[in-house]
Amino acid sequence: MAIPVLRNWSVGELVTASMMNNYVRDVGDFWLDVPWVHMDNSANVSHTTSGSYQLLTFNTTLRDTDNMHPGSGGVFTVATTGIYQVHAEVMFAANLTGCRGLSVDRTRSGVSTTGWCRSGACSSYADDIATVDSVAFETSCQIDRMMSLLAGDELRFYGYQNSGGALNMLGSGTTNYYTQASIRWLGQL
Amino acid sequence: MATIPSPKNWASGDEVTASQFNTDIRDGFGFLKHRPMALVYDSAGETVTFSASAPYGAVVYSWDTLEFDNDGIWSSGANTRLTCRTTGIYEITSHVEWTGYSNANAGNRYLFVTKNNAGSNTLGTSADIALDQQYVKISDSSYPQSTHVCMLASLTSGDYIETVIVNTKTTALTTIAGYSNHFSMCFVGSS
Repeated sequence: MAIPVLRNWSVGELVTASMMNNYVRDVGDFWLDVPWVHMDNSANVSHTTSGSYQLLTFNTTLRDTDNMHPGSGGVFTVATTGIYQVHAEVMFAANLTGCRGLSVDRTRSGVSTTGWCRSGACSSYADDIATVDSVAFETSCQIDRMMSLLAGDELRFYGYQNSGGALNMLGSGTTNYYTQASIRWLGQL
Repeated sequence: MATIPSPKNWASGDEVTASQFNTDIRDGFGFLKHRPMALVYDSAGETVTFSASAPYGAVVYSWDTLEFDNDGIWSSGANTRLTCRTTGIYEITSHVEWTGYSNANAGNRYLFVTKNNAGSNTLGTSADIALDQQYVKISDSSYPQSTHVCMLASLTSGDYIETVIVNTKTTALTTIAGYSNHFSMCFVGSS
C-alpha cells in the first residue's frame, strides 16, 4: 500500500480537485484503512508433537487491507514498510500437564530470526485451579510487540506445548476464545 | 518534542492559505504518520538474586540497545527510562523473559512498570502503575518464562517510566539477552 505523500503547500498555487483528492481525501482514507491484517482459524488444529514448536495456521480473514496473508497457511508477508503492532494469541485445549508457549519469528531476505517475543511457558500451563480441583481449563498465551518491518519481511507464529501428547489449538468455530493474530501499521520513524 | 496538531475550525468566509493547509493538513497527518514512539531492548540480560528483605533483590531493568525512537524518548545515559516528550496517552509494553528453570519450587517472577520513581527499586508504592506476577509451580526448563505488561497510561512531558523485576527463587536467575526482552511506548492519542 502506498503511504500518502504529505504535500508542502506553497503560496500562490492553485488548489485543484486532484490535489484535494491526493493530499486530503487519500490521506484521510489511508488512516481509515492502514495496512492491517487480522486472521484466525475457524477449526481446531492439533499440535501434534509434545515438546516442539508448531507453526500456527489461519483460514479466516477478519481484516486484510494490504494483502498480507493469502487466506490459508501460517505466513504473513509485510507489503508496506513501517512500524507495526504485532499481536497474537494461541488457545490450547484444557490439559493438566506441562508448559504452553507462543513465539513470533521474522524472516528478512531469507534469513529467519526466532523468538522476537515469547510468552507463556511454565507460568501458563494448565490453570492453577486445575491443580486444586483436578479440573482443567483452556490455557492461552499472548504476545504484543511493536516491530520495525520492511516490505517483504515474513512473520510466523509458533505454538509450543509439552503436555506429553498431541493437544488442540482451539479455533473460533469451537470456542469464544481462540487462536488469532493481527499485524497493524502504526507509522514511520 | 512533537507538536500535537490543533485542527482549525474552518469558518465561512475564511481565505484558505498555504500556511493553513501546511499546519492543518500536512502537519496534522504528518503527526499521525510519525507519532512519538520508541522501543528498546536488552542485549546483555540481567541477573536477579532474591533477598528475603525489602526490596527483595528487585532490579531496575537496563535497556542498552535502541531499536527505534523518533521523539528523544530514550538515552544511553539513562537507559532504565523511557521519557515522555509529548504529553498524551501512550500504549506501554514491557516484556521480560527469564531463563527456564527446572525446580519444583522455582519461585515467582514479577514485572512492575513504575512512573517517575527516580530509579528506585522500592516497590508497593504509588509509583507502581502495572504489575505482572507469574507463579511458577512446575519443574520444567524447556522454555523461557515470560512476564509481560501491555497497558495504556496518560503521560505528561517529562514523565518517565521504568521496569523493575523480581525473582523469588532463592538462587540467582538470569533474564534472556537479546531483542525479545523489550520496553516500548507509542503515542495513541491526546490526553
